[in-house]
Amino acid sequence: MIGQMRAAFAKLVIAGQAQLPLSRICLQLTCPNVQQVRSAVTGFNSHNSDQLWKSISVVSKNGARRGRGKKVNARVIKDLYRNQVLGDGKVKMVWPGLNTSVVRGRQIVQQEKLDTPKEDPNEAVREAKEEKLARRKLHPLDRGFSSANICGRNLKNTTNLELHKDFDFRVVDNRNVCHMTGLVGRYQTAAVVVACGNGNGLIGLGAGKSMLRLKAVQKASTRAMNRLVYIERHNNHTVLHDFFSHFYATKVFVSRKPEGHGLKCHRVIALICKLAGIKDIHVKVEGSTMPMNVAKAFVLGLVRQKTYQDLAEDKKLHVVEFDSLRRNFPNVLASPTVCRKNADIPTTESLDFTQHALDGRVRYVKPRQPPFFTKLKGWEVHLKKEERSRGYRQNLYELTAKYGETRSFLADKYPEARQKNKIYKF
Amino acid sequence: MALVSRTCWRRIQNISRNVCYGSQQNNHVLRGDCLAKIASRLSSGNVGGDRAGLQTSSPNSDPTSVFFKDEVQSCLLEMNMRDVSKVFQTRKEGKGLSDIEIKFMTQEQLEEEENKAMETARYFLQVPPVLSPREESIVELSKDPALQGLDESKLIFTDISYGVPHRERLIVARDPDGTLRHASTDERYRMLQTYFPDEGRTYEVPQLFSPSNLKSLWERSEFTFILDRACVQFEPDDPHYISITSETYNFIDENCGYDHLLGTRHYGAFAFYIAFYGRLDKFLNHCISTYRIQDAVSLVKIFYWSRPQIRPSKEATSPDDVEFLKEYISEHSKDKAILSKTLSAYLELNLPTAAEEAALGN
Repeated sequence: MIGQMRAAFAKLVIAGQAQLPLSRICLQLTCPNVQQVRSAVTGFNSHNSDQLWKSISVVSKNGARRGRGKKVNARVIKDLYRNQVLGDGKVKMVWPGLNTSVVRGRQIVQQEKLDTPKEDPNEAVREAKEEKLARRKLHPLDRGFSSANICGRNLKNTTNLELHKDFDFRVVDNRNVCHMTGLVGRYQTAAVVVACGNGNGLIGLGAGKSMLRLKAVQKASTRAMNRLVYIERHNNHTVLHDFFSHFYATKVFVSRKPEGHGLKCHRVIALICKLAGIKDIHVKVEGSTMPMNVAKAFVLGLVRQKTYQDLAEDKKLHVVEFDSLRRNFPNVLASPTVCRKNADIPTTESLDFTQHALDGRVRYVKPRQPPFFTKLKGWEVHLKKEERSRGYRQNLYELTAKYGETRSFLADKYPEARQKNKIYKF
Repeated sequence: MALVSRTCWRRIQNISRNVCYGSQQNNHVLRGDCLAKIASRLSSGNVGGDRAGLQTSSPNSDPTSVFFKDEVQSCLLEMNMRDVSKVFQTRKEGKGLSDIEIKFMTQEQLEEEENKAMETARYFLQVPPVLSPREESIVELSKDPALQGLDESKLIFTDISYGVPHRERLIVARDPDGTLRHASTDERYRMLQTYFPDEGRTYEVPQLFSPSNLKSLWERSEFTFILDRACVQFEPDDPHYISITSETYNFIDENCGYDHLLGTRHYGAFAFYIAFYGRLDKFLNHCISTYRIQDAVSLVKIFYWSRPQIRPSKEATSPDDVEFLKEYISEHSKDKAILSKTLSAYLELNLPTAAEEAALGN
């Protein structure tokens, strides 16, 4: 520093502008008592703070190509001195020239101690320094199929994207796709499929691609909203009828199920069902299980369902529902304008509703095999042993209900022979 | 609850099986006749039993002879059949779900299925009998002192051949003192449950019929549960059955829980009970205020049938004959003011009569 000042003065003297007092200062500066400071040029004094900051937080293009800084996003990059108030601490002080001016009017301000404030102005900064990195925890219902991937994630609760308030958005598929270019080489893109629905029959599918995953999600969400379709449901809980649908190599066999059955299907289809408001369904996916194609095949099938009225008009017959839980009451779902009579139906005509709905297809349902251990010899031994204690549980209930304990029929005659500790409480 | 409804079905099947057997033996006599025959056997002898808390205002104190009359039976069944929706509600029996079948049907096939459904409804809405309690009389067959001390316990012999109605099945007991006699009702019950077990029936009376548990069930309005379970557990002339059902009916009447019985098989039985013992005014008022005028007329009809000495000036001409009701209200009801007020309020609505509705339907 002193070296620089000396150089500046030397320049002034050479220019002949320096007056007498200045030469006096020069003399003082050359005073042997003042220690010489090395004025070496280092990285710290040859760069400004922005350049220094960038050097530790960013990896150069060449460096990145060599694989450096791969964990650059995982490392916390925090500017610990941001918003720092200089000259302020736990004790409030007046530092003339630092946090006040040196002269106030004609008086020179003195260094002094003020009343200690209640709050430290740099509290937030200190907290930021002490804060440790912790992964943001997602609600189990929002976080999707697995915690790391965004597949199946609820976008409304986990991102800050601007989405329609009446619809739920979920990621169906999330992939990284790439192609090679001469200039850049491997050009990576995030490809995302998003499904949206209002839980009441409206459903939309959209795909988006972008360099940034979040942008791809936003694009896909917008496209999903633009491609909404309405699907018919039976009593707001299941599909109208069994149907088959396919998209490229993906085939889906969908079955209509009674209330309380639940969603027994591929996870992507279950996700779409939840968005569309279907509660009971069974779907068998055959062939490719690529999420996007599974979703498309299913939604296509849903859209192509025939209403009961259409089916009744096709066949010119009543469409009647029989539920064994309702003692097989004939519940007429739709009636044609003109109904055929028994005599009009040729013997060759198939009247199977499911077959008609599946366009003549028949799904092979593999019969359930008995478990392997039933063929072993030990199973027979087990069954023989178990036979002795059959009805044991029922007996236990009945005896406990009657006597408050398990007891033999001899208990009245020999009260000392009761199993005292065998009192069961239900 | 699920078990009850399932076993209830079994009980109904058993009843009708017994009835069938009875009819086979009696050279295919009509079912009504058969029931009447059983009834006459049941009612023979003095009617005992405790019927505390009942106002036996009816001069005829034995409900059995009235209940099995053909016109009463058809009237009660009609009352039950006016609302069949509860029979076809989804039942939760703990059996697991089965797929719902959809079929293409012609008009003829559909009508056939609808008739079948009405048969099903008629089957499940059979009215449980309202009887007087049975009398315990043990017939001694012979006394053989030579067999005295043969065994420490009594021996019971049961005829387990098929095709015999349980009430006519021969069951005899040999006591340790050498007496051979017909088995008592309890012994019969035990032996029948051993050889021909009924699903849902237990040897011991379940704890749910204890007074404290019954009270708790009443307070939770589980009337059909109690009545269904009682049908499964007891014979209809069992003093237990009669006391449990009559107390339940009384509770329903006091707390106006009629809607819980509507659409179940117990609706007709309750109506009979309330009309037979002459406490129908509250229920009648409820029927009129909920526009169930046909039920009200049926109720008054049963009232007259159970009292042969009182006759209305004119029989009911239609199922919703308001004049018939008016006569009852003015002559025999206790709450004349309230009932006539409710009836006039109903008449002001000018709802279509049953005949008009039938004409509209055609």
